[in-house]
Amino acid sequence: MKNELLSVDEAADRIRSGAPVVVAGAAELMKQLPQGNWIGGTTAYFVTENGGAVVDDKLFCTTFENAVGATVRMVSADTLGQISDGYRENGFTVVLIPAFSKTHTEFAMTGADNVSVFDQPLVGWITGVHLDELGSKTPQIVDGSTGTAAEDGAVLLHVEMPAGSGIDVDIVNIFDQGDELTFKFDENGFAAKSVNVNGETVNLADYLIENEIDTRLPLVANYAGSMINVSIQNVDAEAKEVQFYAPVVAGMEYKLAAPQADYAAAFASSVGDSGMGQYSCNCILNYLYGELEGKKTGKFTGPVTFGEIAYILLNQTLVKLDLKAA
Amino acid sequence: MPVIPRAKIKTLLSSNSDLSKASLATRIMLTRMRLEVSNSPICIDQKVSELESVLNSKPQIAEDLASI
Repeated sequence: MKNELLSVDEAADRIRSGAPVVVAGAAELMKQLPQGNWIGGTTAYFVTENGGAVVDDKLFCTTFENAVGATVRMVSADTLGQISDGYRENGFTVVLIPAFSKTHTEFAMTGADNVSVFDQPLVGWITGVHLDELGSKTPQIVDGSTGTAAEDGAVLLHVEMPAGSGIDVDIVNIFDQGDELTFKFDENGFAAKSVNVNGETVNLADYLIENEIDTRLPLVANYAGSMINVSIQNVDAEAKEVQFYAPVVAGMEYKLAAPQADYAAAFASSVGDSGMGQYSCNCILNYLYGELEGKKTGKFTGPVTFGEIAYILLNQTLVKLDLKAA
Repeated sequence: MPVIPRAKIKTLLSSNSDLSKASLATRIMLTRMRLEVSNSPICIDQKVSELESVLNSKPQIAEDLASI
């Protein structure tokens, strides 16, 4: 697999080579690409070889040159349960979904209800825009097989690898569960008013404000050894409600993440020298809170995104896909 | 494909054991099922049957859990 920041002409050459490609960048640039075996999603932010950067004149392309086949598909919010229908033999799937869309919400709430999504690696990300353009531009996805851009739905690239290839998906989360406080919610959702904290039901917004909790720290759940974050989007003191970037899950035990003294260093330490030649995406919140612009954080390069997908929607996490030859 | 005894499946679903050596897919899927059992303990037998069925169709997850 090749990860490259390319001009439109160079990206077009990669697509014309016939290998499946995942493209990230500005909608205006992706419109200029030829039809082919590719999918695209909008973002303005990237982790490049030189560190975090805003790039608007190039496209980040991941080319799976060893693939033996690929299929591009679109599904809607109502047909997300059909994601695995397109899984190919010895394969994996990359999924892109526009932020703030109905499909974004639906995937977060029910995307993994159909256990067939776990049949093979499913990675991807939530597409975004430059933060200065929130409200004036809408995140998009592109079905490269037809050149069609969309502001809702999920575009899928089902990739088939040679038999015996190693395909591994995992996450890098610099956060661990912090203090002893345990947060439990009664309902699934992107917003919550009440929460049970160590056995006492309280208003979450009041609790966060009164205890001066740093809301840049996510709530962290332990999924049998994997730390899965839910990031806090907004604390509405007036409405007494807290909004999240991914849904909290009813009954799950969350703990506030332990603080990081040096965010960028924590990332660099977590990833070490790994990352070269792997597909990855990293969260916009890591980019912002870690002030990653211009800072190197290991060898992972890729889009910076409004949510990461490794079977389920993730926050403040780096998702990585590693392929090994048969 | 390894066959995992029903008793072991029941233990896996009703415990909080760490599965750090398992794949991410296994950890996420099993955690979701554990949560369903925790939220509604009466459904444990139904979830055991559901996980048995999952393991029959997902060799990677069956191998992960068999080695635990």
